[in-house]
Amino acid sequence: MPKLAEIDLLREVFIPEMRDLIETASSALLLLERDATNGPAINDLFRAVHTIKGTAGMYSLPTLVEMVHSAEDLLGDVRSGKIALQGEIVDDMLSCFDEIRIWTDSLETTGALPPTASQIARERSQRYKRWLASPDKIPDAVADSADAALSPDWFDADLRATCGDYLPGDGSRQAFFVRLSPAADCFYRCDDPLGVLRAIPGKLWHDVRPRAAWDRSESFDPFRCNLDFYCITDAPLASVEDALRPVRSAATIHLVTGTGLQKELSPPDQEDEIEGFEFLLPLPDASPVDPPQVTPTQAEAPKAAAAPPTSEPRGAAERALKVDPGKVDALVNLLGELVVAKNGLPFIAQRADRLPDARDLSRDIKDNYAAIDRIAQELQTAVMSIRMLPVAEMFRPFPRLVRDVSRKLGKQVDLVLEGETTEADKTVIEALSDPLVHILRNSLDHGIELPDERLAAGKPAGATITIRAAQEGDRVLIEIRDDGRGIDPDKMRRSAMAKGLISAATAEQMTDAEAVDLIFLPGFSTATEVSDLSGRGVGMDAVRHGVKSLGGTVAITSQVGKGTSVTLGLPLTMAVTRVMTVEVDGQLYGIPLEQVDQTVRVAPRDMHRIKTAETFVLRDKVLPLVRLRNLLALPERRSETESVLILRLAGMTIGLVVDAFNSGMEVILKPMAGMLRDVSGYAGTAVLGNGKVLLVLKMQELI
Amino acid sequence: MPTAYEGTTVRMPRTCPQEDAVPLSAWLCAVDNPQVDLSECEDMHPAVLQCLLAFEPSVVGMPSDAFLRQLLHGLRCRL
Repeated sequence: MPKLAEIDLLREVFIPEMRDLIETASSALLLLERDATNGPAINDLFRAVHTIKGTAGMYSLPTLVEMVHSAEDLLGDVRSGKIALQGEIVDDMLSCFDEIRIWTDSLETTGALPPTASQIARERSQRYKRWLASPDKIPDAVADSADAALSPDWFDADLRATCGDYLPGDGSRQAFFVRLSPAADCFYRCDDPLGVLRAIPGKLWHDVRPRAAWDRSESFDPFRCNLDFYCITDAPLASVEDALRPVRSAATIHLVTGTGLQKELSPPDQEDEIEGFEFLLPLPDASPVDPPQVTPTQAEAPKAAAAPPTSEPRGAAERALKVDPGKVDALVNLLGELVVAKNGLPFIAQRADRLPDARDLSRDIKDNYAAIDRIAQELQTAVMSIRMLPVAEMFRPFPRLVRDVSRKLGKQVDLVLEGETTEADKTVIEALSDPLVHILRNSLDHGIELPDERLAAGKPAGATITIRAAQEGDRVLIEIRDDGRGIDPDKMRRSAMAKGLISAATAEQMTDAEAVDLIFLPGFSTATEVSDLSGRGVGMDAVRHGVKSLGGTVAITSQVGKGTSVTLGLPLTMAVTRVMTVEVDGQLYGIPLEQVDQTVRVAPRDMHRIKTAETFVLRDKVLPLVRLRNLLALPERRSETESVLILRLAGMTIGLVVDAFNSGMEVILKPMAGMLRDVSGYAGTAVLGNGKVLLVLKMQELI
Repeated sequence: MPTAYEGTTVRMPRTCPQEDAVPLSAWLCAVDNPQVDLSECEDMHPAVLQCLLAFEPSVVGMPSDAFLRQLLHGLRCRL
């Protein structure tokens, strides 16, 4: 168990790192399942699993090491082709990753692994060992040569012959092979690889070799290190790691298996560190580690520094800075305050204007204001871009989801992801995740047919679900399209009628598109059987509600037999809200601009009273009329022509009478806090340039 | 005791510091059939070790330290 002092470090470093690694490993495994020859995926998978093990070792979590170690053994056999990567193995591996995820959560909340961990680890490693011992395993002789094939390049015949006698080939005890390949300039950095080698405990054998042929001329530079050190030790890994610590980035540790070396036991982040190092100090023959699994190209590195990380391959993105979202939020808040403070300057300039002989002062304030305004705007763009995440973040769990669900349902589904580099605000990405999962499950469960059914309909047995993200103006559009059976509008009408959601007359008047739209009605579910995947009757209704609460839209189109497409549209950023300001009783109020359709002036003769309700006619349509003064319990006021705001609320169009229209503006909306939190009718407040507070109304709650 | 260069033989001290590396490499490069006496040597800077491995002088006295001896096993020993 980790010591108390380590727990903070564990929370900050280990847990996010572990989650990333599990994601990487899972997605690589899924890629590999689809294409067993996918080289980068194999390397990603191995590197991630390795690092999980190494990291767990560093934080003294032997239970986790035990489980991952046996999983790694199994993967090793899969990589060398001794065992085929079957669906069951992938299931096993994925559930292993799930287990690690659960343990990580437990570490985060309680600081310890769950009490069942050691038992689970034991069961799992036994399970993996059973896979290893399966009858179709190739005999040992071949296995040995496979070991040899797995050994790193530098472990050549010469080296093998030199140290061969010291390799515990019978596997009777655990031994590690250490290679120390210090950088050429290590002596200048006061590294002492020889001292480190001397300090490694339990050495069975050690040797030194030149890395390149010696330059025996007068220009020989004794301070340019050309030495590689090797040793075999049977000391515990932790003490070997300890001894190597001063030069860890230059060392590789391999577990000795049979007559070969396997499993480079590298500490986490090592590759990253080395990549950066090589980029900064391009030393021709100073590769500090053997590079079998690391393939960074030097051309990539400068690009990564210049361009935003999201347009880069994943490797580059991983080098990006990780920042606590809270810090960014704090930055956004400060920015909001800066904007408010800045907007106060024009008022001061106006005051200065009124003073005698203060023209110059006023002009200077205005000049300064212009400069601060420009900087604030650029700052705003920059801060907003920090909050922008590629939608790929949100797409990450989907391949796994589609795989698991389709396997469970016996369907063949290919998931195509497009536009993964499209960016949107973090809050949008986070809020979209659940609705998307819902849509995807609906599609898998109801949209996609079984392979036989598809073949009978003249379609390929394997279905395709495409998730496409794109930016359109200041909105991000996400489309989920499947080529399944589509939604039958007639069935929708009948189903809605049977559930008493619509009347027969309404059903008859409905267009097909409107009938398909019924899927969004609360309490509507077309599934005849309720599965554990979707179809609990809350599905699409919840999706529309979730997306709408973010100021988004959901649209669905479907063709019977051809497939269904659901499109979500959301604002790119949530931090800035656009409001229309209106004046009522001398006070300004904000109304979210997305609810405002248009503004009109209506003469009293166009208004009609039907019983107690007021209405008016707009382009041959009778619309209900509501007075904001009444809603806010302010004294009534009638004028020659009324200023009416046409609002769209939950599919309804209404007219809202206000005293006067004011400008539209962008504000940073703060939700009501403290005692005001429970006051309904207000979306929040924003501070105006003159220091006054703008109340932003939540019309849905007022009417 | 400091490093002692005597004709074609150099006697290395108990601990060979990194300051020895440059003069030693120059000497090894200049002298024909150089000989090195390491019998008193117990530790050396890797830069010094590197000079010995590069120019492969004859060793007229192996170090008593087993760790060093193992690393120098490739050098011809002339006792």
